[in-house]
Amino acid sequence: MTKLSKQKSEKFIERVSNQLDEMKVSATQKKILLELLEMETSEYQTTERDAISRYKEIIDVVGKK
Amino acid sequence: MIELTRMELENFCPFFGRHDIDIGHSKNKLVIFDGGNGGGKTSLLKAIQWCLFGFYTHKAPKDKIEADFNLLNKEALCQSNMNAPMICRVTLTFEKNDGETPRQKIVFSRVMHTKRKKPIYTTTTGALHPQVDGFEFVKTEEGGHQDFSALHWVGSAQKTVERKAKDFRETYFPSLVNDYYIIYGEEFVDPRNPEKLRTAISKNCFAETFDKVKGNLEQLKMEILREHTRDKKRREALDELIGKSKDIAEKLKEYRDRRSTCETNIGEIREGISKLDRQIGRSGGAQVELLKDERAVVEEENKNITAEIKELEKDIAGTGFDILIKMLSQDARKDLATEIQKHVKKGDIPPKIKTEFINSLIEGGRCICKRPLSAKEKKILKQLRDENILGENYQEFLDMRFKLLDLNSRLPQEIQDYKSRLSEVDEKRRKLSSNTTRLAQISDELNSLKNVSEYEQQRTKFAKRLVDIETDQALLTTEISELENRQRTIQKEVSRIGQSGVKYAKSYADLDELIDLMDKVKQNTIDSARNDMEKFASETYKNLFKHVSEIDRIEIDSNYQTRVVFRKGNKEYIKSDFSTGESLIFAISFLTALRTYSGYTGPMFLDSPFSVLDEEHRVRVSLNIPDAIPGQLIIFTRPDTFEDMKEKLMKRINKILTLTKEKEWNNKISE
Repeated sequence: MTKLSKQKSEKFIERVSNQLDEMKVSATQKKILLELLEMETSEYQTTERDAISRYKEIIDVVGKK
Repeated sequence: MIELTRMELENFCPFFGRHDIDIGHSKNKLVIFDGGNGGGKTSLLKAIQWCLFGFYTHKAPKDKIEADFNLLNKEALCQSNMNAPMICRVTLTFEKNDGETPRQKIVFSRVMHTKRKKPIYTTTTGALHPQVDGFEFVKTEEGGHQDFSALHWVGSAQKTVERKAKDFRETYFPSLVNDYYIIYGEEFVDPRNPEKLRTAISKNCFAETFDKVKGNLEQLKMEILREHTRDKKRREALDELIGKSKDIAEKLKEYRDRRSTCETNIGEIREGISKLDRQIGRSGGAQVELLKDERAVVEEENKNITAEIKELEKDIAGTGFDILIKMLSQDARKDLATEIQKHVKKGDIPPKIKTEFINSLIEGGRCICKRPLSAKEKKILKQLRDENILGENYQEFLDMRFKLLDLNSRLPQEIQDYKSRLSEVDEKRRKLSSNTTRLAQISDELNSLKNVSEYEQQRTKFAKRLVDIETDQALLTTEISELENRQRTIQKEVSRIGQSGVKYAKSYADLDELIDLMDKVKQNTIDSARNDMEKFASETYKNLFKHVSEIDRIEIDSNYQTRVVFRKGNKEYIKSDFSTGESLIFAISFLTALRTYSGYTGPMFLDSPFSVLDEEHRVRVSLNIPDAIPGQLIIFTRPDTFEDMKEKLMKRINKILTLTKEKEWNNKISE
């Protein structure tokens, strides 16, 4: 991932985070959504099956906190 | 294109002794002089200015002796004496690169000799000059120096802008703003172009990412339902549906990736097209279009004028003879008219027919009807023949018409009409001649813009590729939409079967809520990005476009601080909300635009242009400047600012030269 696209992703996540704050969603939901979006914009590419497992993992971990 | 390939300094400013700087030439056009405070960056720039123009300030100094004394290396000055006078010299070698080999070399040199402490100015021939003006050419081509004169190219840019005053708002100013955004590296979106705005927003807001996450959450939901379904039949039904759904999800992923690749390619091709447009513009593409349009108009005009002249000449052919006939003899005019008219009507009176005819009349002493000619008539005829008033051919006859017509005062109205129609023909002929000259000029100008067609060919190829990819993208969008519909149907079905079976685990109860949330946050993020972009664009327009009709001038000082001065009636006002960094970029853009319009092909020098920028902007601007400025670009910069850009710029650099201050008045230049 180039520095520029990394910057773009970061800017995007920041924008979404602000939107979620404005929408007053719960901290858990915000964290889950941001982690999922971060995962999808990161360099790490997954197959569909891996992605679902990772989603489950993220929701489990964040949801239990 | 003209490049600086070599510099030789001798005892100039902080450079003691002789320094040869070999820049050479390469396809990379960027040359960096990297030096800290006191390294000699500005002194090198002074050396170039002094060598080319005789002074190093933006106008000739009041006290030239003092100004030149400041350029002498003081170490060398101390060591000089009556027997060993000091020489301060700058020699610049430029090479003309117009694709021809060998390259043409142009060398400029300026020298100062000193005796004692007071500098005495000499030319290379040794003659004393208290003030040295102009250049001392060692070898040059005639007029070559004009290419290097900043005043010349700025002057010619002004001329061009004045000439194109009508196009200023439509062409010149937007091109300045375009350069501004290219150099700034900002994604500029014109709010008047909804399609561009939509693409930019979609690209910046990762719209596809939201869809992907939502799709995966749906998938997860189905798997959870399946996991908690105890009934065997239902589980089998769910397995089948989930299997189908997975296939669709894989396909969707593939199609979305392909569509995303299409979008990236479209972006790159559009960027390529706009780059080519800029190159076409710089190479005079806009000018080519204007010239072609002008040529078409002039050619059409010439066609019409030629037809009109032909018509008029046909109409008046013989009128002069008719008048002559009337003038010669009232009785004989019909006979004469018949005789001559048959030649005249053809539009080509055979050479000498008129003189022969007149001779026959004079010699015979009679007119065609055999009536003896009166003495007055004979006199007029002789006069006509001797003064060759009728000429030897039709055209000559037309040219002599006024003399002929003035002989007779009995036919004033007829003569008057004839005269005015002849002057109409004359007027049209003059216009035809000036048009023909202009057409030749246009043809020359078009020949000199030969690069344009090459760029235009590339642009056509790019445009064709763009259409192909856009078609693919549209097809993929249709496919994706169809797959999404099928996916939704399956999800509903899974939900129906699953929900009637078991309630899924509490920890996933908010999955539906997350999916809904995903839709809302996607929409809100896109809306907020659109607002930001529109606000950003509209502020730009507010600053630069709203009052463009009132822009009087743009002022740039030596620190690149820029002021846009507006004029309303007799009142001047300043309205430029630029930050320091924006000012700098605006200044460079303005210089670039001026350079473009002037047709200047020499190198462009920028002294420490990045020092006021933060790291992010510095990197972006440094990356974009070489694209925005065609030709050789020579930048003087400090090591701390250059360090951030070095890695990114390496591919574009021809040479990096380091300037160091070893001791007072003894700086070094090394590669």
